[in-house]
Amino acid sequence: MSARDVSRRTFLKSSGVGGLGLALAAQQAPAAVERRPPNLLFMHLDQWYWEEASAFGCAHVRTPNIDRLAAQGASFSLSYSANPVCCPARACWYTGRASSENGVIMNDQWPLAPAMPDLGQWFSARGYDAAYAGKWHVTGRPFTQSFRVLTPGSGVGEVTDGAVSRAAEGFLRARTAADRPFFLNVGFLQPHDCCYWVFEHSDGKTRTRLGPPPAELPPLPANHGHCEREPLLVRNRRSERGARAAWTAEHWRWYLWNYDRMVEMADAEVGRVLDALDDAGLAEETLVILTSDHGDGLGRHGLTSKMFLYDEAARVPFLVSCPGRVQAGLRDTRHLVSGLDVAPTLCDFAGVAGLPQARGLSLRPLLEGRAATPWREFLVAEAQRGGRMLRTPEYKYIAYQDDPVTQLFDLRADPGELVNLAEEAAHADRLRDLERRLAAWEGSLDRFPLKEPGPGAARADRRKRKG
Amino acid sequence: MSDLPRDWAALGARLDAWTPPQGVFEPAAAWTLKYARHALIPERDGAPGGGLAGALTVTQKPGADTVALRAVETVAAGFSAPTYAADMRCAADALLTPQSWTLGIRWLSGKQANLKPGELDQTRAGRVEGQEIVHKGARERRRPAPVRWTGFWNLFAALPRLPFEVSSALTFDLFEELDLHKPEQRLAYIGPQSVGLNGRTLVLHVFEQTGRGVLPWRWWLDAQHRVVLAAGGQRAYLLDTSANGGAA
Repeated sequence: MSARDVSRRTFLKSSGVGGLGLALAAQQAPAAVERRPPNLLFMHLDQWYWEEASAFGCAHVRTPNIDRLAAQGASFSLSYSANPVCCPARACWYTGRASSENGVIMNDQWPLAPAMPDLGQWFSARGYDAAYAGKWHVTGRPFTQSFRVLTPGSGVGEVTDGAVSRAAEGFLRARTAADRPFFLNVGFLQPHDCCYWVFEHSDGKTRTRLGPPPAELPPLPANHGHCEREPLLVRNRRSERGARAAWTAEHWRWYLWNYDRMVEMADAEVGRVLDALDDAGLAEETLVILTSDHGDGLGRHGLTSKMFLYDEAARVPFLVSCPGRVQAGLRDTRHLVSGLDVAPTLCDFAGVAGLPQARGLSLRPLLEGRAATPWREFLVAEAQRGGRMLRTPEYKYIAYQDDPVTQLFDLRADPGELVNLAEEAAHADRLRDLERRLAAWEGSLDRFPLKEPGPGAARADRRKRKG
Repeated sequence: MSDLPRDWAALGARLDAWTPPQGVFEPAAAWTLKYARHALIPERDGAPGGGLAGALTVTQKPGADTVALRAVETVAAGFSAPTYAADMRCAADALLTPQSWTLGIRWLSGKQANLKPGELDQTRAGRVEGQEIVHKGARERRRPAPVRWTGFWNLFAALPRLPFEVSSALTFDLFEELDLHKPEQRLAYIGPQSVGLNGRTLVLHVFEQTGRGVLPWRWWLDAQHRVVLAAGGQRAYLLDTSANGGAA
């Protein structure tokens, strides 16, 4: 489809909007019958825990800008990363394909399938000005080949997230009505700097006591304890940095307090971009998505960081806004959303064909208020090599290749995922049903043949860490 | 190096050639101080790492009723990096509160960025008008002015004016780069601390700053009240004594 094809399309003609969505469009944008497809602004934070915003009820942070986005658009609370670690999660966003299909199954060591198109290439070829600011981190695909890169940022949020938001701001403020529609991607690092906090305190000693008195630190989470039967990978995640075993309750709470501040840092940067969008008069012509590649352990299950499939790492915020096209103030707590849905949603709103074999679903029907839309009964996330999570609205099943320990949680009764029901006879049928569904999903994948990482992989990982 | 306070130890080998500032410094006079901007990224075992991440130059020129501040900060951000140049007219109060300003943002971008010349450059301006802060742009953006507020760059000139006393604690809202709002800041004098560097022992005075949207900052001032080091979570500004000549 050419750029002319895109610009010629009208929103209402191409959207198939019905019911409330049509009513909203007619009410809020009566003169917009010939509106062209929206610009696309895809912003992502890094390692952002799913409940970590004032708008989501977190009392320990103040996030006026994320809250603003939530108020003017929709947010999904049952949203999951397709693979909760940086490179795989991002590869899933940008290809619309599962990790087993796009080849990026772990950080840094497995490159993206060379022939697989990414969203930058896709939208560039369809008349969009595809631009990128900040963290990319999709192994094997230099983003300069897919986007105009405004700034690459660095590996440290506190050092260059400000430059990333400034680049996005400059890009937006310079837009004119005559410009092509844009697909602007903004990748912030924060609150990923929490990893450095963990490194710095890896010896379990408090070198410098900073911040508020202990009484003012956030409390330990209710599920700070361990689940009894856990896969080896999770146990390894907990023990591989042995020092955390020496962390006192105050260390953990201090970690939470610092994480809160990092989320507030990110919130300010998001606000700068949203202000620029408003000031440039583009807010009503731009679809905004804000999400995260994965969450953070935040002391739940005694863990920090990611790469595991408990909700702390796998579940992520997901916000969408576009005045007149997306319902304002919608808080969806019912529909399961995946990182794989980013690509289909963007393509759908843009009125362009979807990426080939994309696995996700367009959120557009939900965003337009078509609540009766048939939706997925479960979603699957991958983790590391051979880790799988199958999530239904009620249950979560977790299994790792070559690990005899599987996990089954009743998330209605046990949202903290502390009681593993996989060995309970009363749940045997349910377990078999979930295993069957997972096997069917696995069987539907068009897998990318994986090779062992080359000898340079470890070095590449060290380089990346140093930014 | 292991006995160094965290902020200094985190700079690692960057301190090997560093020497303390010499010469006279008068906080309320005209001066220019240059800082190296550092990333404080520890290794996985907690050992110091990171590196140079830009530079900051702050120039103060006192006037009759106001203080003129100029801050020029370069941010190392790979092949496309910005330089901010802020010219501020500030009230002569404890926080050197900005009254009006311009902020030029210029990008130096390599060909990898595939940008048109000057595509991302901006000139922003702002002023205080009554009880509001007004940001000028294509559209004017107004926000209520906090009771006490200042910019991050202003702290390099405001802190030298504070006495080394616990009673000098300040509460205020912070605006980084004059627009990123970080409310509920508290700046307090902690006390003197000895720092052994390259065979010498420095006695420096430490202020701690905490608040929304920032990791705790420690401001290290020498006996003449000159900011020698400002260190946050992963970002620090170390006085560039090789560049400051007699003034530093």
